[in-house]
Amino acid sequence: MEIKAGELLEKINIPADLRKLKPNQLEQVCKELRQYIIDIVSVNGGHFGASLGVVELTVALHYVFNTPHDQLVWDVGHQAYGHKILTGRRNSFHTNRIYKGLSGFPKRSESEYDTFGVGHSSTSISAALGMSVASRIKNDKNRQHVAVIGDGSMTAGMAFEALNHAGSRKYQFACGT
Amino acid sequence: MQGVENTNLLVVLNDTCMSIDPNVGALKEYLTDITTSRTYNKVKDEVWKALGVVSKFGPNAQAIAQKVEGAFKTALLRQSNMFEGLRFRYFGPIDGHDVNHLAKVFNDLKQLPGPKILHCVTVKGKGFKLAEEDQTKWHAPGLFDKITGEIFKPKNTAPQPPKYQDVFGHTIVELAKKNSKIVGVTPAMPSGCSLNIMMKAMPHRAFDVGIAEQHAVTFSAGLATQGMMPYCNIYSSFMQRAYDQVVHDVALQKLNVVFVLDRGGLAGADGPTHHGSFDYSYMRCIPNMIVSAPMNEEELRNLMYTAQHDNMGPFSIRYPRGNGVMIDWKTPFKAIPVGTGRKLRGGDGVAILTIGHPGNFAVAACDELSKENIYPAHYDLRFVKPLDQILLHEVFSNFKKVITVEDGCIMGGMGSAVAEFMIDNNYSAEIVRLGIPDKFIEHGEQKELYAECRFDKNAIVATVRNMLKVAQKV
Repeated sequence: MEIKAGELLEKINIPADLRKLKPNQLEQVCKELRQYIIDIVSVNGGHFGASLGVVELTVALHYVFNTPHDQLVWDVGHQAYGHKILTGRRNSFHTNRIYKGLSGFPKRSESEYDTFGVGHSSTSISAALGMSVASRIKNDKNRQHVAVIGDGSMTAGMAFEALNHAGSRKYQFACGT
Repeated sequence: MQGVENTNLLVVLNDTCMSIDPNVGALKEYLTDITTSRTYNKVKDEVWKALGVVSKFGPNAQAIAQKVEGAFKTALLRQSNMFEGLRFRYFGPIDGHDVNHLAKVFNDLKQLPGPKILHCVTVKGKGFKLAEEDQTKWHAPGLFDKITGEIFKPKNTAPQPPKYQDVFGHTIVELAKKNSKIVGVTPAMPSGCSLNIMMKAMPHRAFDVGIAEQHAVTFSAGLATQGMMPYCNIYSSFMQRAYDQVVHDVALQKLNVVFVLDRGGLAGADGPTHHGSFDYSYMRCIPNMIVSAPMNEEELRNLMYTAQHDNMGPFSIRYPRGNGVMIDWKTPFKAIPVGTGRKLRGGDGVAILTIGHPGNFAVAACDELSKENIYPAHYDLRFVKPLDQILLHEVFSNFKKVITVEDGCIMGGMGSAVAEFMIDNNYSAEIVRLGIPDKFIEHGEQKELYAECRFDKNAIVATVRNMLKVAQKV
């Protein structure tokens, strides 16, 4: 069954296309992205609620941050359908979770926009901290690193281990606390 | 790590109040407190005003930082916010569905170096009314009518065998009614593993501890030290996260914890992060650990019944995602002597040894082969550890060709255990081990993956034919 993307979404093959739009068009993009997820999951199955919940976050993150140079890490990853659709995989999204098709989770071998392979919870802050420290070592001061983590994943120990590490003084900026 | 002063790290806390099931625990309550506290919101507004002003100064991080620092010098904020206490700059909570505001906030935060956390409040299923209202059901609903919201059920009207998960859920309630020591533990998977049946029937004895496998295991260990009998149900691949706790906190102390490993073997569409490929191998090498797997619903019930007996020590029971094979599954309980398998069918030429659910594939294979007058013997081992020594002596005394079948990695699994037994006892036989090869298996339907890994019915039939043909040539 052919599923058609909305007028704006149809023209977004990669986030750079999204970034060409005006801020007042973002609401429409969100509307179209949400509808696309509903259309495709209703006939293909897969995770549903989580991706609908982060439509606006997904659009805003890719609009503001310079992905894939800026590193975006999704925790667990079943909320990343919108991310996949905006990052070059709209036309193959009907194969999501199907044998030999797209993975239901972000996967490094699948796209340069998938910065970290996920599936189990609470790894995103650790991974993003590792990436950000690597950027500092390489003296790349402008690269941004974003971990998107749900409150459920926040209940696991690893998330706190990472917060504890990231909050240590040596990762603070000069005039910090 | 010298010279590393700045990290551009932004944590976006997507606060939905849900995992697959509603979130539990003090953190959830804490986040709710933040989002509803009026004092907090007032402070937050001041912070935002300050940020709005400083943004005009452009990307001078130091200047911005100092300004924002000023706004943060509110004792209330620093002392009362857990994330601030960890020296993250905390922003929010904000509406995670206002895309324009989000874009503006991200633009501001981009200019602030150092670890930051933005607390966004979102609604799981936003924009699809039914999904907003019943978030657990709509986490992964299957196929549905997007207009009416009707979730399509398989058209099959004939009675189906139950899911192993539901057999677990109902059986633990049955056992717990008779044994007051039994409690249930799950790390955030009450609906997935069906412990929700017990949580409803006896809420004070069933615990959802949140996404916290390590804690689930050691919490179970603590319960066991006081004579309780925890059934700690964790998906096989998630149990990998709690390995040290299994080894030290339970096995080393020989505590009576029953590990119920759900999603053992190839899980299906969730793919390699969710396949339970390694548990036979990683459980088998731990001293004191009993490693078992039921071939069907009745066996699962009997293993669960057996595991509650005194001084068993750590006892693992694993089964796959999905349906069993018995429509009438509520059989009376029968204790199974630990370390005993069963002979399902005698035969000639080749013996098939299976563990767990794939035993049913071997039954089907033997049925098919019998039409060609090929009659392999079939044994269900039930226990990978301890092995049934008497049964294996019978096998290796009578057969020179042996096939092992398991829904787990070949390396170190049941077939390896059988091969070790053969070597240790000076037998010599041709063994073909079927199971998951030494690579990560991608996602797909379970039956597609069984075929790819070559341990389904067809693969067993082909292996038997192949082994016997070789024999005929000699």
